[in-house]
Amino acid sequence: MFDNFSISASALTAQRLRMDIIADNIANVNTTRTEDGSPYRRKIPVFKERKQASFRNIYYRSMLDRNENNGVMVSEIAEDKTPFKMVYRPEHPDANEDGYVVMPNVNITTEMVDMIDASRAYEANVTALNTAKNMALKALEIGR
Amino acid sequence: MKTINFLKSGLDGAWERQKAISNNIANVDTPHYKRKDIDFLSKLNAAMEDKSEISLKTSNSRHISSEKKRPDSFKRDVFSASSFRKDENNVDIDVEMAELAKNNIYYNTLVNQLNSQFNRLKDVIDKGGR
Repeated sequence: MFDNFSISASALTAQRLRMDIIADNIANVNTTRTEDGSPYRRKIPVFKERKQASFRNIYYRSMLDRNENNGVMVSEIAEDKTPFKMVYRPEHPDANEDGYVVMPNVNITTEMVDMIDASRAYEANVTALNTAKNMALKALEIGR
Repeated sequence: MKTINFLKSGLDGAWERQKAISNNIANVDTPHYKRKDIDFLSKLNAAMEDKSEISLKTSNSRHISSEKKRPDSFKRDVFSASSFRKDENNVDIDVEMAELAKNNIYYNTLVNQLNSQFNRLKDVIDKGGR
């Protein structure tokens, strides 16, 4: 009965986590030194379809061929392997002997586009959740 | 009672379909995801025309009718043939939102139909004896 809500809720969680990661990327656009001494590496969330059997599904499996209760999940937060940018800035304390600073591989334009995408996807899932809610409320009117 | 049973199947189907559409919207950014949908309307139509596998043939009025058996196995069909984007995902968000709205209106219509059916029965019970 409430599978509907958990599907949309899982997507809301995933999109919010994606938004957090994008914010982290944007915040660290100029971070040349992290804890291990290297510049910041861009992080990417990896989405995966969630295959989760609820108690109800296991209970009913013998009786009915039910669909699995699913949704979406972030399976891992991967690192972007693209090379770092080199910027000529001899006055910088992290500059090498040639005067170049290794900058993070964050592209601010990509991040902004991703952010709008995440925001719109979040809105779409809110709409789906509201529709499910309206349907459930409508069902309560049966027999009134 | 047959009408009520059909409406009930329709409501169950629309609810399951809502789940499938929600799942498609949830996975709009999942690589390699293929959209899934439930085609319960054709099953329901077949049931109404009394031609499908879900009804029992009866030749005598005392035979067990198939009314209690409703189309319950709403299997999700996977549309794996097409790819919408480079990551092999084929969810078109516009199509999904339209289907969502359609499904919602369909569900509301069924609830209204069911209520009017109950009201008709109630009318008969209230006024039949007068």
